[in-house]
Amino acid sequence: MVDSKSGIRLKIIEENKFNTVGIAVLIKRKLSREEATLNALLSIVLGMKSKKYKSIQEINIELDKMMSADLSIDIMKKGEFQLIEFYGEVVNKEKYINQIIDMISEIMLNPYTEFGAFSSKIVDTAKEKLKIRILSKKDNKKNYAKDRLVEEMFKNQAFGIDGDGYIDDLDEINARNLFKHYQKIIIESEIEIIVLGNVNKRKLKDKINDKFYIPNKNVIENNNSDFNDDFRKTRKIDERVGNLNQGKICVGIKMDANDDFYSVLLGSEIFGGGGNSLLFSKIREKESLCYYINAFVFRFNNCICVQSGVDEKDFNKVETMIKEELQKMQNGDYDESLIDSAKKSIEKSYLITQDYITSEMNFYLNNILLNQDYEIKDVIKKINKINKDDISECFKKAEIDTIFRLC
Amino acid sequence: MKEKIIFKNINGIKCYVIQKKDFKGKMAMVSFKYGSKDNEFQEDNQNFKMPFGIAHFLEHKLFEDKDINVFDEFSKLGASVNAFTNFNNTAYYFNTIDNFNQCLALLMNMVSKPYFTVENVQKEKGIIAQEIKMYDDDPNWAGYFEMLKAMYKNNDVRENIAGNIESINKITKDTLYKCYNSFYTNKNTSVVCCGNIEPKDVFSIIQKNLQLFGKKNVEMVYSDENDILFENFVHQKMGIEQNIFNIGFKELKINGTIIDRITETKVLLDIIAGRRSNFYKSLFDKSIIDESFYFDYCLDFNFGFCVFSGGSKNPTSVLDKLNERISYLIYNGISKEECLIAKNKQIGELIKTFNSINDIVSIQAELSGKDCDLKQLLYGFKNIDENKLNKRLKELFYGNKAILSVVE
Repeated sequence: MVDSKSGIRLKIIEENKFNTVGIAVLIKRKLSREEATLNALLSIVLGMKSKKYKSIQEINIELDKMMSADLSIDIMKKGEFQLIEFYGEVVNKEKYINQIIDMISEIMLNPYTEFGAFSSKIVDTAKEKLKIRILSKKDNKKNYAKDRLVEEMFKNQAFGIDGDGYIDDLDEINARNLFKHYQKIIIESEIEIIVLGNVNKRKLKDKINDKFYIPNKNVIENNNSDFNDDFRKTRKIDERVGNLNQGKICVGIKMDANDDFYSVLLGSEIFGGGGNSLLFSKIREKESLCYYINAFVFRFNNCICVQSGVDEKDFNKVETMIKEELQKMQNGDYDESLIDSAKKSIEKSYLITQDYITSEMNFYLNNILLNQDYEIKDVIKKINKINKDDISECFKKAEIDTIFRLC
Repeated sequence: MKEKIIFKNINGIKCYVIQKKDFKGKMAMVSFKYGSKDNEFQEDNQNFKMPFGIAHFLEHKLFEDKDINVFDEFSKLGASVNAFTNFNNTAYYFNTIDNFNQCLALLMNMVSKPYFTVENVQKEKGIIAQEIKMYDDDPNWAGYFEMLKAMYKNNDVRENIAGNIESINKITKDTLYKCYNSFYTNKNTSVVCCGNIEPKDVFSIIQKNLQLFGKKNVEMVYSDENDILFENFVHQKMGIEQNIFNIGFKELKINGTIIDRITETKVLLDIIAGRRSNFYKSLFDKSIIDESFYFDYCLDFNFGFCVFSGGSKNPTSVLDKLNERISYLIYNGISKEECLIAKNKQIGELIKTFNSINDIVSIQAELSGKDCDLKQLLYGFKNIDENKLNKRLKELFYGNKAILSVVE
């Protein structure tokens, strides 16, 4: 439950098996074109200087003295949400846990200001860092191809907005309007706080509510940008970059967003999940046309993305093969044993999320954002109930929406 | 650290079990001391020089079996299986929730039964060619190996791990069998297992199923060029947005035990260029380096090098600042206080490592190829003092010249 007065939803997961304790504090916003770059820039500005910490070095010195504690600020995109996440992790000693909570609270709520705004020098430096980050994304060709697919396929939806913002927006942003935006989101946003580890729940609750108390809190949910989602024919986009040794192809498959996510997930695993999937067996093992090929599902809209690195001359061949394997999924034209091994594989990946602090936190965060309340054992039960017909039903509605090719 | 490392030597094979009873996942890795640098050797008075990338090719082919599909068999047990090759080792591993014992037996059998044919070798060439091209497009990889090519003239550590298109075409089923028989031997093998597992079961399964018959006495031939420096600056155009630098310092003389070298160098690199250093501050604040900055130390018994790498709009100024920083530390010395902070940081890192089954297994497997283990690593860190650090600092950097590799 989000506390209506403080705007905070606090989840403390008591877990004895880790040597460390993790804490995540997230400012939750709906993805909007107007805010995307402002939020991304804030995630950098807030880490640079606060009233107590005069520089990043001061923070780092303190972290190193805490037996190498972690503290980072990230900007995240999840479905139609954009989140500024403050994440800290410390070796399990009470003094370090208290210290990291103090540090997160300090950088989040006590930024350094000059004349009632951020420092212009700091904002300029942050802009440069953000610009470098956005430009560098282009240099990882595999990820760039996937990002471009998302941008094109969801051109008319919030999910198509870049979670890192846009370089074109930077000129309009200054220390003043950025600070105004900061004040607005601190007061108006819901704050998700998740703590995981061997902790004393009661003591922690008091400390956190005290440290993240925001006076004049007034939760107002912002809106996603307005879009028109018109149906269109399959789009094929080719982009040429210099010096590429291996072409990258990304195929975006639209599924029914109302369908059961777990049926789509299971189907995607059979289709292109691992070493015995349809895509891997055909395109890599049988035809030797690639080294990597896989399919994954976007958690928040059920769409499937197939990505692979192939020679440009084989693009059309591989596309045809992907379509053929997709048809097999629609007709249930594959061995039942693939369903069993896919179920085991997904069960394993869900169970293993409990072996890592960050992945277990991520599972709970997804629950919150999706407005659902599943435990991992519930998910596993659901998956085991799915049969071939359920999967075929979902895949019969599959449509190849966008193909992005980089060469 | 509460975890115990249970060790057993089975016919020369080093076996480690680390129990993590509260965790869902279980992992096993079998690692062979045979990597991409190990291409030249003497056996029965004959000299062999194998094509680049053969250890990696062998890694791919070991998944092949005459009668079964290995991926399918692991899938049926609910496990995922994978492998990797680096300069020093080839390792095969699986992760699973259930059926650990059956998976372990399957993995042991898989590496005991090589099956190479003309057809399956030919087929793999297409796949590995795509893998090579994928890495060729990676500017970080490209810059790193350009640095190594400038650092070493003959040591095969300079060659891309997967080889190149030309070299893999020279690989045949006979050369694969030769390498398998020469290097997949008991004394070259370690098995590391972690999770909620029983050591007795693990050791008995390994004893029963890991049957390596290679017993040849192979003598490795490495070029003796540690104290030689070649080119200092190499440069490559790939049309990328943010320049990538790789700054390498060759270990000109090998001093001390492996544990000394690893622990002292790790602590040293953090003092020189870690996030709390003045070096890091002066460059990060001005955006001359960014979040991609990292450093590492890579070694084996007869070679070693340090690398500093990341994105930068001005790689030469990174090198200048680095040299400045190192000179400063050599001149002023590292203090007792600095040493203490740095040591505790590494111990904290090790504690975090023990949260992750994957990390425990990977690090222990790498260490066992160097005849040491995680406990020794921990003691190594604890035993460091500023005198050792100052000595290692001079040994690594005094009179040494860096190699700067830039990709733009």
